[in-house]
Amino acid sequence: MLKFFKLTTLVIVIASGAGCASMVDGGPTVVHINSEPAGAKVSVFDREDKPVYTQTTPASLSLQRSHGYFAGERYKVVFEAPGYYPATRYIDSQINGWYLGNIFFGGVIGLLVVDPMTGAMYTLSPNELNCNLVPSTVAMSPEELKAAELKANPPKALKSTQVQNNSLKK
Amino acid sequence: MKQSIQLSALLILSLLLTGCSSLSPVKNEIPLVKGGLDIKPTNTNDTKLVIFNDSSVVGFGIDGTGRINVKLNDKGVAQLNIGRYTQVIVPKGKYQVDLEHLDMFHFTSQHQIELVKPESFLMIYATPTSNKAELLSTLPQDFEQKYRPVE
Repeated sequence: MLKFFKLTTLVIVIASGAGCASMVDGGPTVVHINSEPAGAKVSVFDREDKPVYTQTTPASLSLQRSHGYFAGERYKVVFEAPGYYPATRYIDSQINGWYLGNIFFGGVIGLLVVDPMTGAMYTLSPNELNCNLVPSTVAMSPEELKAAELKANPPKALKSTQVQNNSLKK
Repeated sequence: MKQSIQLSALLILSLLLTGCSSLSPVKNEIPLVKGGLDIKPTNTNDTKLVIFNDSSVVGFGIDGTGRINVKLNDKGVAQLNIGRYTQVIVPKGKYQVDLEHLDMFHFTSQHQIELVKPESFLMIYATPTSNKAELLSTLPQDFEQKYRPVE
């Protein structure tokens, strides 16, 4: 009887604790893709460059987080619109914070089997992708286009620094 | 020692089994569309809404707590188990989606959606403390391999 209870406890603890991230934050991730102007064609390719989706912006897509066992996914997102230069962005997988929860709850099975197999060990970043397209009215060299894209899409950190600087000037 | 093992087994079992009492299916009040996913609404003012349950099998499939009752504007649609979908044709416009799943507690949630396109896709899933609903632009990859229509 004692043996049975020990075994039951062990099985239940393993089953209930297996895959902390899969239990708390499993499944695919929804990524929202926007562009300025709206209505641009957006093509999403996986890390093997296979087309996954072709939609028009704004789009909300369900994307897998992993590309196999212990392999995070990486998506290439290409924006195209008439009268604008095409633009490319990337969505990368990062380690999910809940995956580290396996250290306390879930153990080796969660760390090495469940979460890596379900893909829940990863999250996708960014989960909201905004792209301001550069008009192709003026011919630009690749360097000029890069600078124009950066101007149209300033990095978030840069934006907040600029705001801080402006408020300091006042 | 023997007593503590018995007690912990009982405690864990009782915690797990609280989710095993099944959720009563919601009464269907909106006609479900039978047939394939290629069916389109005939009226341009209508939209076809595909609702599918994408709850985690690991978290909610083992003990059957991933079943979700779905209501649209207070009218029952269906109870969807994990990996099941249903489709309804409704007029375009704003809707309130009520979701309910039974785990250790009854988890209910309300979501506002606006249906503007001829086809809309609503992904619903259970979370450890609530439910979530996400309106997608298109169905996920390999949808027909992964999901089956509700019976």
